[in-house]
Amino acid sequence: MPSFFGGKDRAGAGAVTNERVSRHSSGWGQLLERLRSEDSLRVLDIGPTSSTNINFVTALGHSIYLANLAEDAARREWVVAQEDGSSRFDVERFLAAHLNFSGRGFDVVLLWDTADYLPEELLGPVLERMHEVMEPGGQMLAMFHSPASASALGAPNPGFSRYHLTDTNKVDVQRAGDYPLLNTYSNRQIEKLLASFSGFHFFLGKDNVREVVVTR
Amino acid sequence: MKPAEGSTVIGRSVTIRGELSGKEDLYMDGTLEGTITLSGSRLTVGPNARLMADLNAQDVVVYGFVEGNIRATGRIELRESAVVKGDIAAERLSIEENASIKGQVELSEVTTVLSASRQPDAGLFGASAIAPTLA
Repeated sequence: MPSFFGGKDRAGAGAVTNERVSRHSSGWGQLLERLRSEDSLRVLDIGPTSSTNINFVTALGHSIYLANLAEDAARREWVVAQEDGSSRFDVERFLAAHLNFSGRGFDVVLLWDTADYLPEELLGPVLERMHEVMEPGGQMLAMFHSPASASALGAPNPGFSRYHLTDTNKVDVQRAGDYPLLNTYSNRQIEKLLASFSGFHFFLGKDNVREVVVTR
Repeated sequence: MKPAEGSTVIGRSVTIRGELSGKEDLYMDGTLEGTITLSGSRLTVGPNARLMADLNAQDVVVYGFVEGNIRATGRIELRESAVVKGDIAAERLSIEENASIKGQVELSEVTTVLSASRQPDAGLFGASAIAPTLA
């Protein structure tokens, strides 16, 4: 049986394919109910562009905004050399360039597992910005890998993926790049990172990937 | 790729700053900063194009790079090499796999979706899609 990122099929051979692997997602199931029951919501989909998601969201009468933060953050232009020879990530410039939504407020944010692919110094500010751009009552779905989920797939890199929405509590996962998994966070760390939100719902997948739905 | 016969062609070595407008089909493969407005016509953004511009046309096909908003009264097609940083508004939208959008997508009309024929994530709103009210 294929795992979350198709790991069983690929781990041994190291091959990267574009096949889609279906995965149960309780978090998505929760947001799907809201998308079905309310009109004219604004959805922010953070990840590689999926025309399936555009179709799905707009067909329900909502608007969708797309951004791929992992890809944006992987560029060397954000790394600034310091006088002492070290380097730092230019967080402020990144936020201004990629998380300026021109005053738009979002009702649903699909962060997927992007958090694990962002530099640690950037993640906190990104989540704070997410909080700022969400409407009161807005909900965000985030996924976090765990050491167990990574090792089950042949650590350290489970593979950056595109998530396709479906009309059930499943999502289709498709490998979409070679960005390295930069971090894994404990539940306590996740709670601290998302401290400005309320209404935590944690879900643990069979693959040990943790899903969190938070409310602004 | 070749421009459609009858289109006005602006080649890859051309750089334009300003407003470009017209009433005939345009194949743009150069660099432009400004706006392009084509009334009732089709704009094709070639694979070598780099447009820092807002685009308005009946139909827009993108193979290259666009930083700006795209508005089409008909259909927008993003081919697999397309990179769009800006908002998209159209009646119908077709996206091939690996095309990239950063921005808002607004479709003014619900379309009927048929299965993609070329790739798993391709053409969901596009050539194979039927928009019943448009016929």
